[in-house]
Amino acid sequence: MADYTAGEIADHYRGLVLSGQLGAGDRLPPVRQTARDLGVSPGTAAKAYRSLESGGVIVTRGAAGTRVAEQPSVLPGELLGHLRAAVAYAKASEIDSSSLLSAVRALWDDSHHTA
Amino acid sequence: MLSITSLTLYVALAPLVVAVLIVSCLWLPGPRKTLPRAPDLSRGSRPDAAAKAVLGVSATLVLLYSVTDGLRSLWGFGINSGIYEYRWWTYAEVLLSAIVVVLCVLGLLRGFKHSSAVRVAPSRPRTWRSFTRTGRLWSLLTVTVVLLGFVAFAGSVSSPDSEGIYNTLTIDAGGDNTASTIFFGWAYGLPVAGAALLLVALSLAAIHINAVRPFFRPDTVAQEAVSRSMLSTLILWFSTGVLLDTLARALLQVSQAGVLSIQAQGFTWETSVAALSPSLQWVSYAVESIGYVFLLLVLTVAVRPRRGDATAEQITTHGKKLESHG
Repeated sequence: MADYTAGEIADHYRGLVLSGQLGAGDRLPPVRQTARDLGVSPGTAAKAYRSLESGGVIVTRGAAGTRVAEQPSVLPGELLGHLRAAVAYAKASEIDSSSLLSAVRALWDDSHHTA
Repeated sequence: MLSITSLTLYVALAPLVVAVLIVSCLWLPGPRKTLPRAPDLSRGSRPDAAAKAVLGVSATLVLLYSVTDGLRSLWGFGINSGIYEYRWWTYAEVLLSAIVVVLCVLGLLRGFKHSSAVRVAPSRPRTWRSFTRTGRLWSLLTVTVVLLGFVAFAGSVSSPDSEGIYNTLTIDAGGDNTASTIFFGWAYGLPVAGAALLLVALSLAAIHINAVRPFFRPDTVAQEAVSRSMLSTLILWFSTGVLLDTLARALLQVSQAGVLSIQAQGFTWETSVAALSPSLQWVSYAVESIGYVFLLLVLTVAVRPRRGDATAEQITTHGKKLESHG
């Protein structure tokens, strides 16, 4: 099984915040839980948390744990609605997530070329 | 006319009959929906089924032990056999057995294979509260507080015997007019209190370990969440049932000891718990019935057939698959 990098772990939590699934003040799992669940060393998970903290996504408040920052950057509601619809449509059409993400990435790159 | 043996048998069985009736009502189609049910965890090896079986068998054994307790006392194996010998574990033995059971469950949950087939990234912290209903937690904590309070009450009215062991209830009417009987004093109460606190601590630890285990696969998160919730409930119900059973035995002992009295010089001296004695007896039967209800619920949920579905809501609650790996 492949090991997750700190960057991938940070991306996971950033995605949860951007999509509004983790809101301002919500608690993140402790570093040890993240490490245990993903089968990585606590150091790797801690590195991901530090990266999120330096990016202003999360704050660490001692005993209160690690929480999402007060004003996290969240994708606009309309865009999230479109994304949810796209995901639901893909699932209904039995399109797997990697295919959908590849298509989104290709469309994103294409928009750069045409812009 | 009932013989003493028949009467003891009826008294021993009455709380069980009441408990069976209550549990039967809970199994009516409406209330039954609120009772936990094990999901069908067909993929992956999880210790949930083994832990459930351990709790179910243990609840049955505690029930059998408790129901036959009165008969064993009558037949000369217990505290009322006439040949009295102080054993500190007399009232704590069910609690001590329950501690062993919860330790076994803890061992199963901790020692079983933890590696996931596909890693599931957590989205929320999982703690001992994650899969535990607050009401069920409060039941355990309330019963513990009541038991500790009763230990303190009984201990405070107990007296030391000739060896200085606080296991008697004494009436001292002056002169040679003294009488004493075996009592649920500090000598019995403190081991009970210690065992009760240890049982609660281990139960909460088991619930925590149950919650923080990694999920096996992203597509079984919902079923695993249901299973963890069920296990958490069974652990709480088992511990609550055992605590109630111990409390009932202590209440009954205090009630029986409270009837002691001395009649001398035209006066009657009673114990400090004489006024409470009749009430405590009925309270002990009620508490015993409720304890049996909890233990029977553990048994019935443990033998209940598994289900194959789980709510979609739980899939998004506790974990996700990281998309870049799989």
